[in-house]
Amino acid sequence: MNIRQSMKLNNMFSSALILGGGVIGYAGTEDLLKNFLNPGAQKMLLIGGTLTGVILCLLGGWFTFRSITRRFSGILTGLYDSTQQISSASSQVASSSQALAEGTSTAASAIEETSASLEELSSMTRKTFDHSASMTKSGDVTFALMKGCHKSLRETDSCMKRIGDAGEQAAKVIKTSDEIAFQINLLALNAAVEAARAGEAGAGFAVVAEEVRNLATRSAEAARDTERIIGAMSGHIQEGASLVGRTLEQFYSMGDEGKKTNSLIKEINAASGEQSQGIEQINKAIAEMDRVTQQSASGAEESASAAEELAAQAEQMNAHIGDVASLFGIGLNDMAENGPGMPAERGERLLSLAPNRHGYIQTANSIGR
Amino acid sequence: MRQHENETTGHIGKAAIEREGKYLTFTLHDEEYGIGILKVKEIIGMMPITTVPKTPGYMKGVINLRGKVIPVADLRLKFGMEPMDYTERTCIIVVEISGAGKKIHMGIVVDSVSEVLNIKAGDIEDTPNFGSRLDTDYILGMAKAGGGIKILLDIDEILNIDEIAVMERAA
Repeated sequence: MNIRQSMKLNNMFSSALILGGGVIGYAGTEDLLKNFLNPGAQKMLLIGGTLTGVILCLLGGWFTFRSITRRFSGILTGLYDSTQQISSASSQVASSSQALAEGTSTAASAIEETSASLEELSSMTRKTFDHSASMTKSGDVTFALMKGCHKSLRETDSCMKRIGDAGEQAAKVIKTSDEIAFQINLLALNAAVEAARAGEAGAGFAVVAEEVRNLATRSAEAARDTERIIGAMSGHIQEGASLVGRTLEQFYSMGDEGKKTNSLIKEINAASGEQSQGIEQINKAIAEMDRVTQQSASGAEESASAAEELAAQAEQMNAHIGDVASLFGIGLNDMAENGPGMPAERGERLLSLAPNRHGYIQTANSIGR
Repeated sequence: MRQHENETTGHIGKAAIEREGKYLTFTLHDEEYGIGILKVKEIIGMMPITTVPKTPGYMKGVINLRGKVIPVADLRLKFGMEPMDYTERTCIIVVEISGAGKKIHMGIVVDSVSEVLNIKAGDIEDTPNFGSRLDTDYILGMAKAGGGIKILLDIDEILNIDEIAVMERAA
């Protein structure tokens, strides 16, 4: 049976009572006055009938009022319940959006830190880029220097060869002079032989021949010494030439390594350039992220304040409901417990949703029981 | 005893005086030899030798010395030493050999010519006795000089003039 049907029944019942009282009062008055009663009795009867009618009317009114109050109590309880839920929900929204706001502000600061370190990284990459570029340049310079060095080495090599050739020629000349010394020696010996044949007359000539022979011997010795020196020199020259050859070989391998290094440095240069570009893009993305985070933080703060406002409004509404209830003399404690359309599980939910009201409702429950 | 001593010294002195004089020294297989300088005609460097068939092994052949054909003998081979390749120090000593009433010129190949030495009689000793059966007639004596010994050769004994006559006929 809904509220409207019960109201209708109540009204009908009350009207019937009032009507019955009136009819009874009037009919009694008329009949008794006219036919049967004396004027005193008639008066008494009239008063009694009127009284009965009034009592009946009052009874009807009381029934009507009671039924209305009962319905109203149910409605108020529902309203109270809803506002309680709104209040708790809005406080939950407020706290969670507060948490969200805090989280987003933490995220924003983390993003800022990231952005700062990215900036550092970017500057380092730029430095690497610059250094590798200057390294490439100095590598080119080194390469040019090495080319010059290589040329000088080759010239040294050919110079050594020329010195070697000159030494060989000198050795030939020495050999010739040695041969000449030998021939002079033979001539001196022949002169000595002739002097001996000449006997006493050739004695002086023999001395001259001896002197010539001595000179030839000395010249031969000098030639031999020179030959020895030139031989040693030629050995040194050969050693030097082989050293130059080895140096050249090492130089070639050094040049190869230098080329490799140069190309590697160029690659590093290109890579660091690309890296720099990539970091710039990342920087942009992070700036965008920062902006969005800032926005969401402010949004979360706003929603938190809105939820708090909502909670305050719900509290106020509760107060108003309490006022209305007290106006009608309805205990909200009773309503919470016994009001129509209020299942037990709903009360449980209310308890869980509004922990600050927990004690209050428990008390209400115990009273209702 | 005294007489014997006198005889001995007299013999040496006589021989030594005969042998005293100038010698041309040369080397052969690292040993020094000497020839009397009056036997030497000329010293020349190595020159082309024309070999002559049907001659002894030590006879190397003949050379043309200013238009004169001269037989050449290798003294190493004549002495039975191992042969050696000729170098720029190798020389030919042209000697005058006398025998059987005639004189002929002949070349001898030596390792190298050293010098003309004046050897005194006191520095010359007789050839030691190696045994009666050994022929040491071609050695005039042993000359002591500068701590070493130079063997003085009698070139007339070494090169038999008859053999050379054969060579000369062949040439």
